[in-house]
Amino acid sequence: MKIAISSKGGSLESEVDARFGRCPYFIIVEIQKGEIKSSKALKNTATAHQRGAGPTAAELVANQGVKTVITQNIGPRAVSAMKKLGIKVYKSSGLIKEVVQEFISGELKEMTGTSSGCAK
Amino acid sequence: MRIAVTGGKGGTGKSLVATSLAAELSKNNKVLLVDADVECPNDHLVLSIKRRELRKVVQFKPEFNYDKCVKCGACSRACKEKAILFVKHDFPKFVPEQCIGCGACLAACPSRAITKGKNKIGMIYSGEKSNLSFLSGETIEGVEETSPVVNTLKKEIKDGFDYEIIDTAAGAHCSVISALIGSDLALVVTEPTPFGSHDAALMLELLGKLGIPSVIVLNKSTIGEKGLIKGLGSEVIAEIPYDKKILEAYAAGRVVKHKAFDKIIKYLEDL
Repeated sequence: MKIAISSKGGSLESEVDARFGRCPYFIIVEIQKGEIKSSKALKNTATAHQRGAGPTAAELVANQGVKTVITQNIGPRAVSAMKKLGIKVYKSSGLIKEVVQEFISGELKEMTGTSSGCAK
Repeated sequence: MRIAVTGGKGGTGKSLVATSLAAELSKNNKVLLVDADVECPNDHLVLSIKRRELRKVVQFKPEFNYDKCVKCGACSRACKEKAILFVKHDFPKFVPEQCIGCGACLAACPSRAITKGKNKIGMIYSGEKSNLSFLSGETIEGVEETSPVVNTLKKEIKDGFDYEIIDTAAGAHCSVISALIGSDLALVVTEPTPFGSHDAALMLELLGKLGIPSVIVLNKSTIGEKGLIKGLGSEVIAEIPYDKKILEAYAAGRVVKHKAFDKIIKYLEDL
């Protein structure tokens, strides 16, 4: 399975970016049999959008075959978009490689609504 | 005669001036007050008017016929608001909150898989108080583009009024511009503060570009620095002092009476 994590930098050693729609990078991680099979950094082109960055970013990761996203905060429009695209969202923070391990071991909580206090 | 009450900065007293002026003018004239602050209308509260639903404001939204859809993504690429999401080899997904009803998707679809649907974005209300007629528009929460509600509201203005008073929202953005267009005169309500002066200057510049004559009504005139407003180079036709009695009346939802409003009426009558 493929997951996307909002990231401050371009590697597994980077930290999770608090924002989903406007993070600079997504780290796309492919997990097979409970292990990281491969990973790559994807530049988040949605940051250029004045508005609608959330839905744009959701579409961007969906086109990578991603069905799971890990981030900290997500706005209401991104939530709608994720639901339409069938993407599950989990909340976490810290180093990407550690967060991925937390996800693999089932420690992360799924987010069902918005968590951002500013996007309203 | 159509008079816009505007100002740029929020909280300068636009609704105070619009409601008081409308109430006073309606004693001897046929007056319509239009609350065009469609994101947060409250003139009806100040005037204790019970609003009746007049009509819904609807906008185009795409409806997808997936039997005809060829999954080309043209609709999604045409949509500048990202209201249509497209993932390769899948059907387009519609996010209604993002849609502004422009119809670009309808034009872009090569297989006629999109048809015209309706999206409710607001409501137009009417009401009255004694001789004063009243219209008000209200946008549904979460809708980003509020100008269509203002434009629909303005279409409900019937002929035959001596004065039509349009109370605009704060700011100088699209929905305010929609409210201002077509006015014969704009009353720029401001206050003698750096913020009031700064935003009034922007508003005066905007009104200049729209070709709408403008004058200033200075609220809270007894506090702050009047020089800031005099420097704007536009005529100040009335001053409303910072007076506890005015604040109390307004806070209690009563129509405020003050000689400043008589001055404005005199100005209008002399035009």
